[in-house]
Amino acid sequence: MLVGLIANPYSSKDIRRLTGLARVVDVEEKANLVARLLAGIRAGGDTTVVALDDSAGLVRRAVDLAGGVAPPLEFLDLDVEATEEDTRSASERCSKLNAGALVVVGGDGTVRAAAEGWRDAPLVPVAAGTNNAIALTEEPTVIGLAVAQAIRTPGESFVPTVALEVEARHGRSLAVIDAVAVRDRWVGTGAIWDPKQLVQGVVTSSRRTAVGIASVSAALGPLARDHARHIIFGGPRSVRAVFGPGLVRDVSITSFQDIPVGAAVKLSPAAGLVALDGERRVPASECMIRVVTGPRILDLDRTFGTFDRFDQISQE
Amino acid sequence: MAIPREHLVDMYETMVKIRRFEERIRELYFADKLPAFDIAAGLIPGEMHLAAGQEPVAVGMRPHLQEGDAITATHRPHHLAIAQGVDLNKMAAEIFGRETGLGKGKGGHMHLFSVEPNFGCSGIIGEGMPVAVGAAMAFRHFGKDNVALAFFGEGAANQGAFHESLNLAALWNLPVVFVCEDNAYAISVPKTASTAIADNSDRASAYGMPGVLVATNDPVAVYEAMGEAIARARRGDGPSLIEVKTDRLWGHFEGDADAYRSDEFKSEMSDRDPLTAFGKRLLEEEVLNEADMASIQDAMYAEVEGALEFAMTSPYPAPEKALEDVFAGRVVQL
Amino acid sequence: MTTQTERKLTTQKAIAEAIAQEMEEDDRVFVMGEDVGVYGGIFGATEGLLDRFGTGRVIDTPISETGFIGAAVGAAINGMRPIVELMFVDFFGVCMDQIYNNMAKIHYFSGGNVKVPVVLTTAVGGGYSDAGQHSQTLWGMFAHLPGMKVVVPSNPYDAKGLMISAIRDDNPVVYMFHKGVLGLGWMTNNPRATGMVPESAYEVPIGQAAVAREGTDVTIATIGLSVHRALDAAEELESKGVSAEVLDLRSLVPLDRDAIVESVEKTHRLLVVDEDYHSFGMSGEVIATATEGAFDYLDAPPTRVTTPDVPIPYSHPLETWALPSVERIVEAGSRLLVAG
Repeated sequence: MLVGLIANPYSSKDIRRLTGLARVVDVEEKANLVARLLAGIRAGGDTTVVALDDSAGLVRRAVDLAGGVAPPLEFLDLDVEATEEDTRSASERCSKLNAGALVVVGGDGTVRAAAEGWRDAPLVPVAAGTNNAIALTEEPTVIGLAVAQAIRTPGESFVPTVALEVEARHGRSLAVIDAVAVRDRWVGTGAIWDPKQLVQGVVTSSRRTAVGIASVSAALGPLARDHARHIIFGGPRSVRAVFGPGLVRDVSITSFQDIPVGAAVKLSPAAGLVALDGERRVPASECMIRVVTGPRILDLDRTFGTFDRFDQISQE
Repeated sequence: MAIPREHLVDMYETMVKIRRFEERIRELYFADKLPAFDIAAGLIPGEMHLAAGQEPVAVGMRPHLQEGDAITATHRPHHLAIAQGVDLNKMAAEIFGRETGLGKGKGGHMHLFSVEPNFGCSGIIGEGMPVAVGAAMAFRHFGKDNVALAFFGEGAANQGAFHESLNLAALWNLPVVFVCEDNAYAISVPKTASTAIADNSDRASAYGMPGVLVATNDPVAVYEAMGEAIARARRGDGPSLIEVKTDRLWGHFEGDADAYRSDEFKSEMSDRDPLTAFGKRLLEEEVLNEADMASIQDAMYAEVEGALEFAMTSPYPAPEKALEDVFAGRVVQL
Repeated sequence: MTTQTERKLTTQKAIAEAIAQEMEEDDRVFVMGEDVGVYGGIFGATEGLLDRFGTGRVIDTPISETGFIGAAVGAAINGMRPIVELMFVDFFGVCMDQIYNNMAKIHYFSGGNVKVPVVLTTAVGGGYSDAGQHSQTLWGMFAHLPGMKVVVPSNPYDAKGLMISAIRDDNPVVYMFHKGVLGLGWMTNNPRATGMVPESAYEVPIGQAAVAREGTDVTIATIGLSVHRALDAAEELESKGVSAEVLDLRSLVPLDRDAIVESVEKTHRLLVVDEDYHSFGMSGEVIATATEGAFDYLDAPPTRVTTPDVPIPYSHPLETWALPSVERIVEAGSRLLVAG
């Protein structure tokens, strides 16, 4: 059975180390994280991992660290560019290989790029980014074990999510958590740390434990399944949200409306850029955001619910 | 962070100026060294290390600088000196070894020193980092809110001085911004062959300060990161490390065959020339139009030409002046 | 001539007093180095300063010589007057770039526009079995490289005056204090390490030698602890009917070549005592100076008592034999009178 692995060496190093209290997750730390994942995957049964051979040698390092507890691992035959394109291509390749799960180690941006490459991927996002709105934050060894189990019971282990298809002058992009128009017209470092920049956007999550726009949405109340929330920022009302690590901010809101899968929102052209999953990216003028079904995400509780004891999983 | 139009324009103008200066120095450097390359011959003898492609690092810092801020730089200093506003005439004259130069011809291209603005550079890898720490100590002593910026390459991050300087700056909570210009090559040795870890910004936490990776060679990205880091230092919150992935478009030194970098690598670099890219964006965003760009080019080219003219028409120092300026107040005896 | 209050001080206390007085007068002066604060300096050069001036101006550094000596250079460029200590001169290897390539050259590179008023203090010298990496003098090497003044006081009066001059000098000054002249209680007792020192601040000019003892038969030119040895040797030579002039060079950069020539013109014989390694150093330079400037006055070839070109050995008899001693100076001096 096949599991895809994409680890992003570049997450958790951007300007939010200075604009807030975002921590650095350096490559050594990520390699250790991936090594623990691999240990869990191997223990879970007969599984082969196909991985992106990232430009920092992160996965290679993880395999070294894991030593004897690494599962069989092959690298995808891809030209690596040290950009987001690597994640997208690797994800697409894993889709073609019919991987039972796609493990993505990074932040929201990494997950986004992976989803772009494989829209309904059986995704296992492992937190190693600044804002980990969608990623799993549990011990990677445990996640690895769950992955090995989940690929054998996919219907019960992965839950569908909602995503956003963003269409603008540039073409089409996918966002997994949020697509928000901001005033700034320059991509710069990409990150957003000032709520006053927000104009309007759509967010797919209202998780109380999330950070970023999802936290803003959580303050507005729960979100129904198969729905996203269209928020217009600015105005007299404000809600308190965890905008980033160490950043608790009051965010001004004018109004919001929950919209179902299939619905679309056209953004006002006055804004500058649309940020996708927290990173300034595409021009905002004539931008259409459509609510679509997104990747399926691993649910640990449901996965572990399919067996009572750990020793059951090495039956194969 | 919204960036004011005048900063965008200023950064672009400065990039044009820097690139033109480096191009003209390169032309003049080679002009009279042939037929067989003789490093000692011509208007600009000796080594020459040019910064074409690394302009974003210099201009991104520029709008955040205050009078009195100190910069220490390397053997590849021109873009930083120009961005900080070092007198272009005197800088050019120094490169040409004339008595009107910053150092009266005694320092040359790797040893450019200016008092106002506060600029120094060195031909020894890592030498400027401790000096920036000391400048910051002085700023604190005198109650100034100035900042010291230490520039160095990714190769220098493996030199002891880097590690000592970061530790000292963090230990004493000094207003220093350490800026690593990662152009992927230390002369011919790629970073993958010199550095055990992937990114030097990862090293920052080992020394008790935040580290930021600016992954694109883009002036606005550098502007944002520098803005935060400089503001942080100025308000007394201590040092930080910024790593910028930049491009060294030409060889390590002029005359370098640069055979250790593949044609593919070089052509990819050329495709993402930051000057072209930024210019294009400014047009797209309608910050500048074609006429503006043309007039900027004219103005910057003229300024560069003026400085070179000044340099080339300045006299050489009298030979026995070599004995002066070793010490303040004393001439060395032969 | 004003009457000054004088009292007996050791060389170590004279140095600390000089620094304290200048720090009192000039807020830009500060001290930095390993163990200079709480400990007062391993050799006491900064004793009492921390209590008086606080941690803002007396800074205990990590073991980062390149870092803190370079920082001294940066601070000096930006308006301060640092006194930075390299604990033992033998440690120069880990940080020499900042000293000879940076500190010493910036004034020149900048055409005189940038001043670097650093005092680099450092302990030199052997004779107490601290072995090959903690006993060297190395002034020949520092003096050889352009751009830094080098001073080596031999007594308390000069130590204070030269320190004050060094601090007030706008140039980098390497201030080398020989451990044997400091008068430290835990070193072998040395009566010449104590002397009368005025209470007030005063300068001893850098670049000026001093005749420590007048004589007519032979010039013994020397520096540091060897001045004490030479003075002891001169007394012995006196009893043998030889009148030796002891010339305490005090500075190596600038070197008081006129004083060397003047003395040799008087005595016609030159003996150089140099605790640094024999070859390619101070002794050769002094002899060259005398030969160039007073060739016709020499009645005998100049000679020298030095440390041979060996790492300074540990075992007491080995070390004592290797370093310049009173016996060797007396012997060399006597031979010189017979030669020529």
